[in-house]
Amino acid sequence: MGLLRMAARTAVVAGTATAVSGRVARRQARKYDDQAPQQQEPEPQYDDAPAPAEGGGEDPDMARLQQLAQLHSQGVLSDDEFAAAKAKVLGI
Amino acid sequence: MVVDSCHGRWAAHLDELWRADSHGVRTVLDLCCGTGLMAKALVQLGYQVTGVDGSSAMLARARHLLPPGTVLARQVLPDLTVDGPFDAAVSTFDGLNYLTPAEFASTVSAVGRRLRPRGWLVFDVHADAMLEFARSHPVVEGDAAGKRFTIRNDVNVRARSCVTRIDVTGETAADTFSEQHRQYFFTDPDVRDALSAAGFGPALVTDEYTDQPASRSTLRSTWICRRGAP
Repeated sequence: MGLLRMAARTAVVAGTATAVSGRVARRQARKYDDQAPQQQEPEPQYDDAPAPAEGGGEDPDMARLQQLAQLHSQGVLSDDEFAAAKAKVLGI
Repeated sequence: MVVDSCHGRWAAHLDELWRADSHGVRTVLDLCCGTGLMAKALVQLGYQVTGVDGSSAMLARARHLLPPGTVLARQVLPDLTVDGPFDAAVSTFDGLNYLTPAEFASTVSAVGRRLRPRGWLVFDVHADAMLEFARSHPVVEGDAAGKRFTIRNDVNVRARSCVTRIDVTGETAADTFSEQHRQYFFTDPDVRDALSAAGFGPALVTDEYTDQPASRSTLRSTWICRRGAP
């Protein structure tokens, strides 16, 4: 029961509906739209947003460096932390 | 048994973030820990986790899931009485969206007081696209794990809140239940102001525990920030 409840929370709940995986919710949303063609509400236009990168073929070191650079440029990592973390990735 | 694997993935992401901390992160406060899935994923990576949640029933489940050394406490946010200081605090799976914006601000402030200097606060909250999703999909039906579910979303756009009723129908009575949730959708300035007032530095906002910056299609955004200035 608890697990099912958790599954419901994760997979389905409004907020959550989309959460676990946007894929599940988007599929449900599409299904719903297919079944309810009379719905007049236009879908929000988010087409200009970049699709999330799959990351599968990406160089993990490069991805890590980009992540660190991002954290540093936003001020989450200090200069020293950025330098140290970068050096660790590069093995220097 | 259906347990989503996202917790392991998210914990790995947090672990990666925290590895850049020059002081190291060991102790983690898990806010709205629920049944302890995230706490468990963090414990498996070697973190010492303290979990708090408003639901005794959920904490009882977490107790079974987590090793005896894990501290679990019933705390109804924004009231927080656990002692710090912690190296990091997390709140996953939109747990903080159960708070009003004012309660959220008080919670962030209480958490800030329990983090060591430069301690981390990482949490996810619904983004505007989620509010729009809920608004434009008042009913969502489907099947998951062999159960039929119906979700009804009643959005109050002006109040930026949503009451969600979930009905799940399974083969047995034990598999059949209904529940209702009320969540609040914070604006970005709501969140930024709360963090700033609580003494947190600038935040990096990403798309749900990935390295992708949050965009307009982001349904849930992850906020990453630290106590105090660099």
